[in-house]
Amino acid sequence: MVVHRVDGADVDGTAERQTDDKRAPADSPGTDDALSRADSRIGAQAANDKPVPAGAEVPQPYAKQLDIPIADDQPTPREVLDRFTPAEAGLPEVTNEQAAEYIAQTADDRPWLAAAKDCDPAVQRILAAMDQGQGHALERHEGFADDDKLRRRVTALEDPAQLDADKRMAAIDGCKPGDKNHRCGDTATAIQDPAAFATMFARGVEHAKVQEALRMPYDPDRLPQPVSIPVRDLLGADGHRYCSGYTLEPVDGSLSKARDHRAAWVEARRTPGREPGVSDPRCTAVDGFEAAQTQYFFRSTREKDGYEIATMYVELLRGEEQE
Amino acid sequence: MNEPFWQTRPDAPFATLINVARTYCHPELDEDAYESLRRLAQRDDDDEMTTFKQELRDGLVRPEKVPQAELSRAVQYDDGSADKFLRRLWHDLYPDEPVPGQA
Repeated sequence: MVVHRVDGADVDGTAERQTDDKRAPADSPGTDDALSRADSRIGAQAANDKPVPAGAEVPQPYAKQLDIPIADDQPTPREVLDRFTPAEAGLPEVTNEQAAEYIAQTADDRPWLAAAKDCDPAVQRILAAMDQGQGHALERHEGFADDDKLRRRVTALEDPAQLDADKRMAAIDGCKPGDKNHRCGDTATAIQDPAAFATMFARGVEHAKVQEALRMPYDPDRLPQPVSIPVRDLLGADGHRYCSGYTLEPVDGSLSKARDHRAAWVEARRTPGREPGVSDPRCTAVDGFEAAQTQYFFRSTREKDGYEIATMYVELLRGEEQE
Repeated sequence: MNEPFWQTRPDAPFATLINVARTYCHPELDEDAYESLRRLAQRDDDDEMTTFKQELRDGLVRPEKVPQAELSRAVQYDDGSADKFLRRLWHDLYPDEPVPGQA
């Protein structure tokens, strides 16, 4: 399946797979034959996906649209980025200069910030603020989670945020303390452009529904309900072109059953000698992002005095659906 | 694309069940959210949780009434079926009460 990458490079994930192979040599601890076989099966599916054909249209970097209103009555992305107030999203205040410095100092250890190095200062400020919050949208739902990582996440529960290759292959979460299992729904998506991602976040924080959620009187046991906003309202009519994603192939027509089988497969993968008893999870590229909605989930702030965004990702949230 | 009923009609049957489950049980959230729900479930004077518990009970007693595809899509549980998910939820939230509908 074709997935448009903004940079137009390596859409079949070849380079990333090579990187992963280097991180997980055959004799490394925790990498036994079963893991290697499973890894090669996942890689085999990735390799079979079709690359973008020559001449396929790839959207221009969203940074080139920062000064163009997304609609006649809407502010430009840059205006939204410039007036973004991190505190309104439960995040630490960051200036443009502090953001550049933060990214320069931490990008080597936090590779999801690497793409931010060359970004517009207004974009850098949002990404740096997000990275200092508790949310995980940047690690899992921006371009660091490229197509190969998205496929691996949805089929094998490999967490893009997990930087230890062995733990990633064992489906250990990269954000939770204590080697907890990583979880994922039947679809993994990302915004494959840092400026589009930052704009989506900043414009989303301004949205009345997100504001209502963030300003809900704090209750230590209660969370605001997730909020859905159409992608086009956040990025403009072409916003869907910056989205990519993969969804599990149903098992016996059921995505619920597919998730259940995936859980069994992952458990077997991390248990030497155990056979999964189910077929290898497979995925297909998501189509139809034109109708996608951005989802905002919430969590308590670190200070336990309010709410911040736990994650932001794009989803095709359908109504009636056959399982 | 039609929006899911639990977003457009929050008072519809099982809408509260789906909304609460999505808010606290979705895999994009961590265990802290689920722990929050455990504590919230112990509140006897909370209107939303009263409705939630009633709809959870109804779903366990009459599983054929549960909009299973909508629940699956919204909550993304990996229990294998809506019935298994709802049973786990009851067991976790109300451990001192028998699971409704269980012989």
